[in-house]
Amino acid sequence: MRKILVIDDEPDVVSYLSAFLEDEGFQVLSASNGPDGLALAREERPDLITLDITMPGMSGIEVLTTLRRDEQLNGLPVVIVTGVTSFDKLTDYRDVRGPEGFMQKPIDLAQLLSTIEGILDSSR
Amino acid sequence: MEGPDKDLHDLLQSQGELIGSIAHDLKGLINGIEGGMYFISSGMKKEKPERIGQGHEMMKRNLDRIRRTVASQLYYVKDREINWNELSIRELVSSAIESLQGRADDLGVKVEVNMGEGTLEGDEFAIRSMLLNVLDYGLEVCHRSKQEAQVAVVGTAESTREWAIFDLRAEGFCMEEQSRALALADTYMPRGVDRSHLGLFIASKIVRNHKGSLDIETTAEPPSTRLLIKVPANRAAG
Repeated sequence: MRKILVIDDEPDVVSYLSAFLEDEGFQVLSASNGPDGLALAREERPDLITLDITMPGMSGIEVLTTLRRDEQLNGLPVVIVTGVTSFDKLTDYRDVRGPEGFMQKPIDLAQLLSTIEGILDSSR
Repeated sequence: MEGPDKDLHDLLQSQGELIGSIAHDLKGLINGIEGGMYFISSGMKKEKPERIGQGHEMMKRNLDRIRRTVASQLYYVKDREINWNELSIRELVSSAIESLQGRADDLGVKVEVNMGEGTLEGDEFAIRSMLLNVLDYGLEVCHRSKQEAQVAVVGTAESTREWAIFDLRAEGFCMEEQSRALALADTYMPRGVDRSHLGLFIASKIVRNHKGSLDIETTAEPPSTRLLIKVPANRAAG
């Protein structure tokens, strides 16, 4: 079963995404902040991460940057799921590889699923 | 730019930022409601009553947040006439905590307010809104600052002959200068501040309308922010 890690500080979003992705046949892990998310990524090696940007403490951009600079984790596909309207405005990540997907909240489930499936299929 | 032109420029910029902030808040609330709907419909399809209940709770909680957000915006854009009533401190605080307990549990923030007896004379809608805004602010900042330390909104609420006093502390969080400026602004919200703290500005406005005061004290180590709100216990005292 393919494994997805959801990192978001908003409990309702975590519950919503987790329930939806489990219903679609994925195994779902979740973390409510960046450091916990990174620790889970190291332990569990998910197939893909969905990542919020605006979180307390460590932002999603910092999480993405850390993932990309980690030799063990830099191949992990990341889909940003955020309330921020344009990823172009978030320039901090530019010295590392950007995310494989970008989606705005409110979440369009069909689009999210097709984005995830597309990324996982192409990385097989 | 100087004088009236600058004031107008600042006001318009502030309103623009406010609209952006409201839109951002609404996105979060829509997510919560859509999540609730998903739980209900998938729960019905899979015949899982606990999932339906979870969805119902999620929708209820987010609708409450929409109600509070709308009430705050209305308070921001329009001055309300005070509808004076005698209000029980205990009932006010209990109902505010009850409204927020679900979110506090979700965010892992403890809320504990010791309530004394006593009453105050004021506008029930406004005072309730003020308490919800202050407590909600405490929850959000405690959640954001949450690292390893225990975080909590704690305090006391009581009434003397002259004052109703709400002495609340966000433990684990030291308020930044920006938010202090927002809370204490007396006309429109200053530019460039974190708009998620709009509720604090509204609370401060309600307190001022009731001839009361809102004072902020911060401690860096251990991080803590005290919001001391005093409202005259009766109209005559104010």
